Amino acid sequence: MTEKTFEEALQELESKVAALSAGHLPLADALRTYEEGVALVRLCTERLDEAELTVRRLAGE
Amino acid sequence: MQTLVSSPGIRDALSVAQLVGMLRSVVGGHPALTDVLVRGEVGSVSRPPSGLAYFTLNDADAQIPCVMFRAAAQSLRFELREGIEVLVRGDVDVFPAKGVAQLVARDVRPIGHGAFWLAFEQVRDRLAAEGLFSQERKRPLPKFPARIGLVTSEGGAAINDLLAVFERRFPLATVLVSPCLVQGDDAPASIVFALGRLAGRVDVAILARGGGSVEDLWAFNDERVARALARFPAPVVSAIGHEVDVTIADFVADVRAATPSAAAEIVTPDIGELRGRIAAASALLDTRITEVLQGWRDRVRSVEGRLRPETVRLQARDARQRLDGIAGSLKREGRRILEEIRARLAAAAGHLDAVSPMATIARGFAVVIRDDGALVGSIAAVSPGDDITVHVSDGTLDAVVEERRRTKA
Repeated sequence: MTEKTFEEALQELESKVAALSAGHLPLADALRTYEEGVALVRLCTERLDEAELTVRRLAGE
Repeated sequence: MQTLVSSPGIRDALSVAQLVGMLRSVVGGHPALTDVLVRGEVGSVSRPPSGLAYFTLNDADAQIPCVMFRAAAQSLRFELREGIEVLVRGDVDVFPAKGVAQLVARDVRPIGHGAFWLAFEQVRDRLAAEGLFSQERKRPLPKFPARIGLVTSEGGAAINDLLAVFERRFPLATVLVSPCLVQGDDAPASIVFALGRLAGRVDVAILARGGGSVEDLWAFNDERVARALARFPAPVVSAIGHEVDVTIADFVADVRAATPSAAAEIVTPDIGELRGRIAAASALLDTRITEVLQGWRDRVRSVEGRLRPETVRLQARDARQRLDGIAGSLKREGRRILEEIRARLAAAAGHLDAVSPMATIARGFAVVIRDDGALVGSIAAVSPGDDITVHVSDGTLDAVVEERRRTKA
């Protein structure tokens, strides 16, 4: 499986927030959604903290 | 009389081909007639399918036919049209089939005021007619470009501006730099090549060049560049020259940016905003889960409260405290208030009498109570042999059930 892109992680995080805000989740699902959301917050933040611009030069091809 | 045929010198006469050949040998390659620069107005133009271009170059007193061979004709930056004033560079030669001298043009450039704009307008109008600038062709930019292509000069200021913005706003990206020439005759082909090298490898591309004169920016008005932009598989943002400079490339690009820095900002999300979104999502997660948990806690409490005997004791204590409070205030407020309350109570009791079951009992009805204190409202509530108490208006009767009989419906 390929790694989640930042965009995918951020979208997933925002959809977890929406699911939790809708308020119809059974308690166990709500807790799981929360935990997954927190993991995504961590993932997104780490990605931004560690990001370093990659510059590649294409020439002579 | 001498006949023409027998006249002297006839054997020395030249053929036409010989004469024209001589003419050609004198004119063609003559240093004064090679690589000449001529200024004149374009007369009638003919461009047959062979790819050659024929035109006459005129001024008030003379004209000379001109020809452009295919390669030269195809590299023209503008459309040859009657009436245009041009500068022609070429060599004079003699065209044997007609026996006339002609100018073999290697390069033709419009001159005078607005010469560049003439070419610009011609290319623009042609591409516009093909629909290359239409709004429907414009593609939306990706929100999170993982790979950004740069087509620009490696030596220019533009590339540093672009990279600085990417570094600051969106360091998550990978930037592929495809270097190219950005001015001069070879620039259009170089730009087309640099674009081709990026095709299929990026989510968005930026075509950039720092400021310069109209001539410096000329490559970006080239039709080949315009077509390469149009067929590029990902959206392209153009950032050419300063804000006031508009090139054909700007018309074809999906988005036109005023400067290279602006282009970099247009294609990237801002890391600060992204952090804000993450923080907002994180805070909402906490708020929502707290609400969910509080909801469940409240439900558990309310069920528990209904089950626990101490809740009942607690309620009794509350009630006692409130009564004590009332008693205290009664002492303080004095007899008048007490009297008023008594009067109100008496009035209320009068009302109560009217609706109380006691009044009904006084009229001869009785209330039957089981030995566990429950009201007997149905024969089903007791069994033969049960002890019951019958309440009448002035006292109670102890009794035993002997038999149950259902009232006939």
